[in-house]
Amino acid sequence: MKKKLLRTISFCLLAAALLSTSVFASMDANHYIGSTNVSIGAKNGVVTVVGTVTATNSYPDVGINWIEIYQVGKSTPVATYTYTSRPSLMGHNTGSHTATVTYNGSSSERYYAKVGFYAGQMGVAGGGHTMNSVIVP
Amino acid sequence: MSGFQGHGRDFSEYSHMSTDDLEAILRADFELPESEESDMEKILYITEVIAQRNAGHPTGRYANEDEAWESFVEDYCPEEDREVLRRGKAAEKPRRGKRFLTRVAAIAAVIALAAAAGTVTASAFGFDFWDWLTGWTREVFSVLAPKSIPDDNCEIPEQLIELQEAMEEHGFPDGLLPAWLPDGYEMAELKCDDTPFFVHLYGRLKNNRNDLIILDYYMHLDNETAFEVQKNDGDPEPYESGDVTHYITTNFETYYATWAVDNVVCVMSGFTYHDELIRVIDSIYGG
Repeated sequence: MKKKLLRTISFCLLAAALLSTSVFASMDANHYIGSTNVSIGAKNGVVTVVGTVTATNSYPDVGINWIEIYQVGKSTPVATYTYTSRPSLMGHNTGSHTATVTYNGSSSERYYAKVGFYAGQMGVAGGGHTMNSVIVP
Repeated sequence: MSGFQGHGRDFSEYSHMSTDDLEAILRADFELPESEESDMEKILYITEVIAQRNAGHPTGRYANEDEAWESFVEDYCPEEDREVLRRGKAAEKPRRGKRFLTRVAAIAAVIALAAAAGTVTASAFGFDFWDWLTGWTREVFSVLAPKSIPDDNCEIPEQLIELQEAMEEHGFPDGLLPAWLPDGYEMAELKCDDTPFFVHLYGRLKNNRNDLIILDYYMHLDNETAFEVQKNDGDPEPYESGDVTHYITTNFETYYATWAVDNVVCVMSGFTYHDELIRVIDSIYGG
């Protein structure tokens, strides 16, 4: 039993090491993006996602590059919105931008969103940051 | 899943199950009689799936430490232990077998991995070094935190009067704006985003050298929110002023201060000098 306990702890440490690599192996800081906020709510199956980005300065393009809404348990998004198809996602010549999307889902399902933020000048220089929302309801 | 594979066994079905269902499996395992063996490979795979999902949802799962603790007790503890744990009298329980320890180790892995991803209330699990729910990775800092609003109501600099009026109009509490700013800064952009979930006030000030001070205030109307501040590698520096802990970070060459009072998250950024930021913070509380 002692051997089994030690083996279990070994597995736990292994899992921790593997996960910490995937969680923490990412770029440091961001030249263009200062902070980001993603809020989500669901009422009667209607999912609302609000994203806000504050850039490190005023830039030609500051806002949301894309929003993906996921139904819990499914690996592909049930809805995708991009700034090219929905220009209001991106602000211009500003230091901060907020945008909202809604999705008509099912009241019996749970949802979350991934949001890709952007600040800079499209096609020239800029930075992005991706955030996940919490799961609702 | 890129991690634990369980000696060639295929656990991929668990990757497609909901987090609730996975937690139910863990709970069922926890409640197995002493005589029954756990499938530890399966359990560890599930812990990794849950932890990875939690990693993608920083700050979101638990609104406060009481909720997190209650969730832990409700979700992971055998029914007979719950009341004891809730009363904080776990030490009075009779000794459990090693099998209990094994299960605790697996659950501890979930908690540790989730905590590493900044998803749980630290103090709920014994890491009582913060009074707020905070977390960080190498690149972002998160905060979601209730506390009492300071009573101070300092005189606000002229360039912040419009921001102060917007705060009053939207019901922000007093005691969030600095009473002092470095010379030469003027408001360059002021925005207000009034959304179903939060009111966001943004003020960008700059001087004639194009140095910036950025003020962000989010008044959250519910808890379904994830908030992150970009940062350099390294731990935030806690700074106490006005009985409020401010977390100071850097993003490349600029200093940030992040703090929260009640349902308002505040960020001041753009500062080139640490001591200038400290003086601005202190001025919020009359210093």
